[in-house]
Amino acid sequence: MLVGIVMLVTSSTVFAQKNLVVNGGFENELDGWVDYSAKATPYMYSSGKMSSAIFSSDSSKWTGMHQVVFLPKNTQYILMSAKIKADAVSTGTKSWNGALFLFETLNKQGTKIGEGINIASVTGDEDWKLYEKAYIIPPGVTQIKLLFALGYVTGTMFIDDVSLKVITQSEFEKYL
Amino acid sequence: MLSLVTTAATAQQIAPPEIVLDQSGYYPKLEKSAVVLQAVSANGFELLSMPDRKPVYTGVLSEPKVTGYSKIKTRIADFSAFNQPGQYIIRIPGVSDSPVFRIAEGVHHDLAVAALKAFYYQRASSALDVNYAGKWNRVAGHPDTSVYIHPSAASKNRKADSKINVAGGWYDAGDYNKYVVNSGISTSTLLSAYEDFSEYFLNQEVHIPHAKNKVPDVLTEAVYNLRWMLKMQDPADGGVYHKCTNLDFDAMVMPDKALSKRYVVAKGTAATLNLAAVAAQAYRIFKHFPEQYPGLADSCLLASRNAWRWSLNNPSVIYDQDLLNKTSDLKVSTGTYGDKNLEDEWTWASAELLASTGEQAYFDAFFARLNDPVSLPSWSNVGILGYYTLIRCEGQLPERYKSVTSILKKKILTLADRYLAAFKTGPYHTVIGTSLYDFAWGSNSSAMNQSILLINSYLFSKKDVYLDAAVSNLDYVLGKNATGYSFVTGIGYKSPMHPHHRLSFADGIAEPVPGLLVGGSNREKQDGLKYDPEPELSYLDDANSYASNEIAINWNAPLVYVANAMEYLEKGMKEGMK
Repeated sequence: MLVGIVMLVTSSTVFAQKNLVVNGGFENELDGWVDYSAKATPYMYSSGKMSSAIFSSDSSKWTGMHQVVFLPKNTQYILMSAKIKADAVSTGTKSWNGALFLFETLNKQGTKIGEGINIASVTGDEDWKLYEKAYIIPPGVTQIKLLFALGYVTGTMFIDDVSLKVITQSEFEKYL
Repeated sequence: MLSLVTTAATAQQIAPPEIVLDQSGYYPKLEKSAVVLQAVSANGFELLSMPDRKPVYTGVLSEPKVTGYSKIKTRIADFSAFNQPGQYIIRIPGVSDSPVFRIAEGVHHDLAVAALKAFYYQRASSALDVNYAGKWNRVAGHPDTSVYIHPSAASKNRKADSKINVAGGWYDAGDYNKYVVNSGISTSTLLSAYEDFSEYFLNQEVHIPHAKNKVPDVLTEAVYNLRWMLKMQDPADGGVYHKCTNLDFDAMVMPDKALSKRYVVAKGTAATLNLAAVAAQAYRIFKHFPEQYPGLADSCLLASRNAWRWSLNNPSVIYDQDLLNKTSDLKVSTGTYGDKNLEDEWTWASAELLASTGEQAYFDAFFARLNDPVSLPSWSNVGILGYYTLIRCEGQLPERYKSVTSILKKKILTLADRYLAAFKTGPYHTVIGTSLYDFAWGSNSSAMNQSILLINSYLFSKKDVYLDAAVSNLDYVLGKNATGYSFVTGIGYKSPMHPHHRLSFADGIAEPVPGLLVGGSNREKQDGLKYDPEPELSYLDDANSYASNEIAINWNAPLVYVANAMEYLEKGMKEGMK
């Protein structure tokens, strides 16, 4: 009986910690990602041997990559995270312009619900930094679209260790 | 007449206070402090008992504190450690003695009663009997039994210029119009006070007309406005009219002399969700009073469900008065109460319906908005009212929904702890007043809503320090502030005599209607009058000063909550019954 309980808890913990992002460390280059201009690079990384780089010399454009993550049924709480490094990222005309990490919520038809939500907007030079967002999944949301982009700025951003995990309510509350 | 009034008010204001304190008094077991506004070389202060002027307590003044937004420097005389009931003054070498003040159990009883009774004085469509209203008795005005349907409110069954009965309710503020969105938070705050402290209210006597029916006075008064809100709902579809109003504000005359045509204007989602929330809350309460109010609870739940359904079909009908006036010859210039973000109204209404029914659809609607940040409530920002409700009703929620309340508590405590830090370090040893931005329109109501948040935090955490912080803001509105005013009419030795309030202005009685909380210091000075430049002194006891000296039901309601809550909770502390 005791063994059964321990196994159940262990199994639940393993499930809660699984990274649902495919190739979040870019060790398989850009497998799993929809890219518009991103490049996998071995010259700069936070962990492993690769990261993704997005470069832009045109501040009139939005350029980047995304991945749609399917959530397990009845997911209520998730933790999204990524490490970002910025090199000479300019400031744009809007306060949110910069090297962006954001997400959108989608229903089962893949239709976007509401507006995208910014997790990070970085300008200037910044060394590798972890950005995290704990989020409650509203009813009807079955997919999360993670986006990284240079939003109407010039410069280079590097992305590594992208993660989306289902977490428990008590884990979620640590981020409040 | 007005210039004489203004001159008198100005004369009163030029006497700068040196030691400011809570003019209503202090509870023995809670935080007690006064603020010294003049530079003094002394580092100590004495409490002298009155009338014998015998020293009973010696304390140390704080180091001078700066506000960061004005030139005023303060020092705090904290005598929390002294808890003997009596009458006292504070003596500090180099400044005048403080006025006499009290330390006593039940010290805010008169305030608690007056603040609630102020709603009785605000009743529309009703004569105020001398036996209840005393010298503020008056004949009825604004019967509102034949109010016109404004073209913006016309529907298939209610054509423009037809008439409906929307009698009753409270006048909103200094004017004589009635607005559903502001009624929502006001009525709910009174109902929440009852839900949180029902045992206390069962024994409270406010001396308002009732049928000796053992209904607490706070509910009797709330029902007066609730019934009006229910009338503002179109029974054909569940939508709720935004307001009952003249086209323009009335002159500064008594209600029976204000004879302009009245209209109900435009249904809107904010108003409809406000009714959904309040009616759902009322259902929870009045189902326990079936003999006194037969059918009321069921009517409320039905109205709430119908309002919710209308809102689902009309999720973002914003009240836009400018647009309305472009499309109608009957132009409306009274208060707008326009609100473009309705997510918080959805949060509140879904929480109230969830608490009252336990149904999944309302939980889903609430949970869908749980990522939204919450902040101090106001008429346009009501989401946190739903948090208070679900925490309060946690025990009655279906088991599968209960765990969500720990998230709500954590979000509330994040705000409460921020207030606590402000209280500990602030220049007035109050929560309010640590930031320049505290001094905005209706700043006193912000102070009271901060206190409500702290009291709620105390109720679920049982940490006394939240009560100390909560009572500090009560001290603020009752005189421990830079102006030296008690901002509640009729309470304290220096309180507003000339509020922007038609009833007080036009009744020919020197004293204003008692128990009313004025807006308070407002650095934005939208009325264009000449104020002191310092933010915390931006207050005028002038009937023209609608930006700092108006009264409003949504400002008085949190005063009712806080004053009565403190009366109850202080008693519990005294008896060790926490």
